[in-house]
Amino acid sequence: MMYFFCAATRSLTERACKQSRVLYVVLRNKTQAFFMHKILLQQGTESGHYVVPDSLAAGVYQIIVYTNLTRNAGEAFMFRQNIRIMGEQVAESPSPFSVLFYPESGVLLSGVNNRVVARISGEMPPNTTGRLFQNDSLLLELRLDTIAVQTFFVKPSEKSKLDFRISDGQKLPFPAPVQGYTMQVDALNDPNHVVVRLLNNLPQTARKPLRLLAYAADLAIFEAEITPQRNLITIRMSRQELGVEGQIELLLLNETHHVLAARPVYLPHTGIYTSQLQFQNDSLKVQIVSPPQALPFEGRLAVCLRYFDPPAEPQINRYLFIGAFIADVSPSFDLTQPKIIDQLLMATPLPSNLKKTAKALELEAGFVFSGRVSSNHKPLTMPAQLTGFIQNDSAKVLFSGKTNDRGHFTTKPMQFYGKASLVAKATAANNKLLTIDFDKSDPFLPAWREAFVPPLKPLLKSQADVAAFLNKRKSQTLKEVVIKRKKAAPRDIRKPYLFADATIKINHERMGGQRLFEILQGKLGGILVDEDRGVTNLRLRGYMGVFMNGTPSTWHNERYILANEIASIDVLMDPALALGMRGLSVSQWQQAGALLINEGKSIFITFLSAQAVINGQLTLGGMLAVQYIIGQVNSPIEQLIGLLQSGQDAKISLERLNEVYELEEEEQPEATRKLPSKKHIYFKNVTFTYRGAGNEPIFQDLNLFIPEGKVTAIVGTSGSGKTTLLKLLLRFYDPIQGQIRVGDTPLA
Amino acid sequence: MQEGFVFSDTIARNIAVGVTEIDREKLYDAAKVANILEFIESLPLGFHTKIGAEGNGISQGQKQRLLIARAVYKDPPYLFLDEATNALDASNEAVIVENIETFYRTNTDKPRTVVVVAHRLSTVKNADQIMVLSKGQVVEIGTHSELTLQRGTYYELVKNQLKLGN
Repeated sequence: MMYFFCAATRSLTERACKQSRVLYVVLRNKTQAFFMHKILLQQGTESGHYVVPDSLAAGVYQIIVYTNLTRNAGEAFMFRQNIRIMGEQVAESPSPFSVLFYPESGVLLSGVNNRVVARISGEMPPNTTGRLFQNDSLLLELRLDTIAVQTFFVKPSEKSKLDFRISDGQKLPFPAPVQGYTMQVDALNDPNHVVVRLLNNLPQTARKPLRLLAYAADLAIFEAEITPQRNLITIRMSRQELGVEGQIELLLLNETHHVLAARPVYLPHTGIYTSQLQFQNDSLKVQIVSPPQALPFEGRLAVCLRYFDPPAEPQINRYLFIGAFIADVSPSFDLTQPKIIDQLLMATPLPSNLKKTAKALELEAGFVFSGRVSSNHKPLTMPAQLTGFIQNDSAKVLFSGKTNDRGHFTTKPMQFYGKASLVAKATAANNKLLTIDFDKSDPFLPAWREAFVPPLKPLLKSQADVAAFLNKRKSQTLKEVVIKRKKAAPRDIRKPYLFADATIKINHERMGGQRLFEILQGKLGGILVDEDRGVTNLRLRGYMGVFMNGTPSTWHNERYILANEIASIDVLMDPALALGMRGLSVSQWQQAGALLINEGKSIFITFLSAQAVINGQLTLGGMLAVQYIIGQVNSPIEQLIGLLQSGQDAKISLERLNEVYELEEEEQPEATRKLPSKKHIYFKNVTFTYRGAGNEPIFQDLNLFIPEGKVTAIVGTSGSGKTTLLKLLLRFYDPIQGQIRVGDTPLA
Repeated sequence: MQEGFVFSDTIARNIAVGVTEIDREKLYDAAKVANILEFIESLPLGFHTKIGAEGNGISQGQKQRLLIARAVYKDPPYLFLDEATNALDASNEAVIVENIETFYRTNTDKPRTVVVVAHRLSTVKNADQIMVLSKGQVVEIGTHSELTLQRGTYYELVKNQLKLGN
């Protein structure tokens, strides 16, 4: 059992820090880490205990405690305490150095790209390499003797095992992938926003409401409640609203205030500093030349080295990220041991050349290389296998994959700093000589902007607010944002409405939750959309009715029905409109056209003949004769046109008539049967109402007997139902309930 | 039916509807039962007189008698008469009711089931069974004498119609 009490203090002032922070506690020996726990310091303090596992061999161990920021800043900023566990055997580690992995969320998530920082400490023999395997396939190779910190991406699958082997034969434990959340922060790309991306590998049902908190000093400056609806959500915090510079800390909490992920973020000062860089042998000298006076703060400074590429398009500033480090601030400083600060690793502000944004969202901020494999300068006809690696002087990331049929390929994202070289080899099934051409364009950066942005809550201003916020009950603070769907109504499988001018079949696979009016809007012409105080009204112009699932609907009241409750929508045009409008419009156009031609012709002939008369080529009598004769020709032509018009009208009428004929027979032919031998008529519990709303029943449970061969008279006052009775006997109507029997045979 | 459809065709064809060959004897019998034979024979063309569309040119009473003749000609196993004589004068009606009565009851080898709906109660006096309907329910069943003895709804109807004063 190990008891602990943690309290956070500020390193400069030594005063207690009441900020909520995440501490990572690691128990390790010289070669490996045994466990890691996260502790959330509420108001700067926390106490508790851990059970040290029995399996731990006796020996010297060290407990280190660090925050996200200090883990990258170096061990000098970590709390360290050596302990000795007594036992029979004291196993000394054969290797004098250790590699520690820091996945961003503390755990590795399967199925998503995890950014992992490896810290190598201790004395490293030359040419020591570490290799990361996933199911015995090499993912990554690190040189362990040159650099203390290395960042890489791992995308473990759910079942695959990851292990890290060092060239001296040791194996280092690699955290097994679990399900959970990871948070990635991009503070440098967008000058106006801090972009936080939350990735998870959870199924939809396991995603619970989350809270994202940002702290600056001891104050919560930002709060958002999130219910992830997908595997990746992006939150954009306005830098102006955050209102701070320097270091902030982002915490992702679950509904019971447990920390799922934590990230320190450095928000750069907006001032512009010009510096001079000078390389002296292996060291880089940075001289800040503008502003000439001292920097506005003391302490530590994050330096991001970027190469500015003059923009081809004026909107896009292109920077090539070279490296980043933190250094103690003085007007000038030397850099011999670069240390990488977390958030700067995200800064690879390179323009995107990937068209498919959906794919881009899956990828991490890293370099993706694309290109094309060809055989003798001809495109491939079948996919080729592609293997290769990118390497700099400290690490080698391997990739493998297939090209598409045409030979195009894109590698997985890889992150590198400084100068790196790319080696790739393509092989095809037929062993042909293949050449690889990499695309000349810049390495790619995912386009963040398409991502989903949840609404942001107002900021909490004071510490009291923060405390109140933290003490609030779960039900009050966390809203369930999941849209509850209505239960789908039972589907009607009836035929489309008979007279439907248009029937819309709802494709449920494609429009699961799409609102009805969107479908109607998309599929039907003649719809007006009025926006009236936030209410969308839709109107169908010239339509008489809309039938949903075969029953009439006052559909605009049902515009909030989800499409998956409807099997089909039939739209019926006003018959008067359908017939009249069509016939009218046809004849209108034809008449107009005929008139134009006719009158045009008359004017033309008059003009021509008049001209001929004026020129002396034709006598006046001749002109009149011409006009008269042509006038005579007119009427047969008009009759011909009239015939065509009548034909068209007849055709339209015939269509409407045919619709009646297409109706099902009300009385089935086989229903006519021979009369039974007994011919008395018996009404049994007959109930009948004339169709229509609000009609009183004429008969209610009427029983009567009309004997065979006898005369039965039915008398009664007007409206007592005498005639209705006969109509039922003649089967003009069928009883609503009950039965009319002739002999033993039911009438219906 | 109170109203029937009269085709614009000859009287003979209007009585013998839907048959290719008209049985002249049956036609005469039917016209006699319907008490229209006299009228038909007074016409110059007799049974071959054409009637205008929907019975133009003949009176409502003649039309009704024509329709009765049609029903009689058909010689059906069921006969439903709905106010079949409401447009006829009393003497004409009396003749027809008597004729139909015999038509009902003759031909005993082929029993005829008749349902008569009537306001005028004289036409139903001889029915085997009289049902009195009121608000969709059968309130009384019986013969004329039985029902008049009951002094119920039927009695009231008869009394109101005869206006005999007691």
